[in-house]
Amino acid sequence: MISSPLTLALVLLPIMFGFLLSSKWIGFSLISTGIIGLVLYDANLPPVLSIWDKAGTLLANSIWNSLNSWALSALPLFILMGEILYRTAISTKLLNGLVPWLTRIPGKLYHINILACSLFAAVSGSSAATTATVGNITLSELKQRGYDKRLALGSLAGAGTMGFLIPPSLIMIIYGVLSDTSIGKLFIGGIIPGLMLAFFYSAYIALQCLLHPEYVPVKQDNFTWGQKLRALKEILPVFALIFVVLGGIYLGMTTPTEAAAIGVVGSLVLAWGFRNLTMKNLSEAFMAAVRTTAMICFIIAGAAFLSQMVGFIGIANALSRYIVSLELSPYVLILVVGFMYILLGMILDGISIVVMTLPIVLPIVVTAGFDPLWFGIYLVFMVELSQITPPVGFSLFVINHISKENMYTILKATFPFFLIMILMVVLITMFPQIVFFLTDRI
Amino acid sequence: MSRVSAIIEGLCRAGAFISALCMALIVALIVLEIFLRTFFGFSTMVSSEFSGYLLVGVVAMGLGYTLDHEAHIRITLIWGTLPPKWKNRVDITVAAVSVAVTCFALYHSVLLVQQTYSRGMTADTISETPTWIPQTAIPIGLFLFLLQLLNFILRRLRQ
Repeated sequence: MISSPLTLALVLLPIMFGFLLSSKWIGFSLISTGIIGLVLYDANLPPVLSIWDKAGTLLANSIWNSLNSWALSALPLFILMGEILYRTAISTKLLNGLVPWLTRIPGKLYHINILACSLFAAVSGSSAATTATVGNITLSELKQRGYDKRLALGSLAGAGTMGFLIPPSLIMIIYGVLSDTSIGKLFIGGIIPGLMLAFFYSAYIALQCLLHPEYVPVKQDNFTWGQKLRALKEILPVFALIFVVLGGIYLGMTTPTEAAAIGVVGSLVLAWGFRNLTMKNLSEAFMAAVRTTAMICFIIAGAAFLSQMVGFIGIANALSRYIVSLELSPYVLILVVGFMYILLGMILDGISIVVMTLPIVLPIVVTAGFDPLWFGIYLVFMVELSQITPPVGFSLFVINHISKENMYTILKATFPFFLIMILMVVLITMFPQIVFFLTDRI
Repeated sequence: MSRVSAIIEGLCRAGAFISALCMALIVALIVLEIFLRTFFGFSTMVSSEFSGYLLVGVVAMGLGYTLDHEAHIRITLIWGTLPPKWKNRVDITVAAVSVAVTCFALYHSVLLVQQTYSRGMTADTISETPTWIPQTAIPIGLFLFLLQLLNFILRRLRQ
């Protein structure tokens, strides 16, 4: 029996990682850790109530309370929307629409990944979905036209992660629900950092191509303005969908959940227009959405229980007080937190990282003077980094799967884009106005 | 034995169907709400409340099916390096512990539903929905999850 919250935290940490590394499902690992924490704790309960009953009641209530949520119901809807779009010809349309516009920029078609990912990210909430949908079509296309695979792979890995940064974003929905921050504001706060990141990626590509002209195939396709404008027609439906989904949120007319429902209808209309709306596609999209939703929400429910345990025992409180007593400067603190997230990102997926650490980390950074809205965007970057850090990085797996290149090549290609993302994190930390510029104006 | 597996998988597919239905209902409910609000200045008053209930349904009823499709994430970093025989053993151990956890959660979620039912608890909204109705999805879903975990073990024992 342990009565000091900090000691108990030190005991629980290896237990939790033991469970996680044993290949036990993440949701079950979190619940098991929560139960063990309560049982080990020297609680002052009335003798009629056993700690097991207390744990069970907390568990059942955590499952119910964490899932019975209006804000969280945006999650399955955005997932469903992405699944419907994934089964349409949308990626081909993006390619056809964007290619004529890129022939004059240094780096030419290398920018296709950046642009297509940014656009698709604006209708999809997930990085894996963005990477898969765009990469499925651009990688083979670039290879066919004689482009160097390294820049192609790296830019896809980097830009694909913007699925989480450019709204709608599943991570922002989860963060918003857990931290009680406005999801609409998070969405808006992500726009400028997202566009800046895309710009830096493109600038890096252009620079590389100016330094190494051999990266770009000599063959020049020329497009007339007529062709360029006709090509634009191909991406018009995507722009319309972005406008319908995000416009309502920015104008303050719809909540994110309502926007998600509109998005589902919009993506159905798009699929119908592209003639991809078959019964088979639809049922596959629904079933895939059920799987992803159940997977994510099981982790959320597990983490909700864990955070109840952490609160009940007072770990978050004790740790917060301890960190405050160290009198770290806020920048040192955020640096330490960043390193911790990058380490965690090596073995865990982004969603698990967010839900597991939030009950402990959020109070600490808020006490240090960081705004929860800003921290949400910071956290999204951490999640993006975790997508491309080995050995466990979901974007890497997706790219490995569609490109059939070996992991080492992909990692080497991705590294510069990893560094650019770190640079972006430094920038938003030094200049938080990047995040608040738009959110302060609504 | 394979008939037991087939029955469990069938039940979980039925669960997933209900789960998909709940998802479609959320969309329909919200679209209806937006439509009524925009054109008739009228609200159903329940769309946000019921969406939450339906989300519980989506998740709970989908848990078992998701396991059947190996879609619940776990960290296979170490597991992936094991020889097949050991992979099997680790899987069975891990699933057995998860069965215990699920039984614990199932028992207490039944108690929760019983309590809210006997106390006549209703939602704090205009609809005054009895809370036990949406809560019932949790024990049903956990039961399907439990069956699927047992099936997960069964399949590996047969190998």
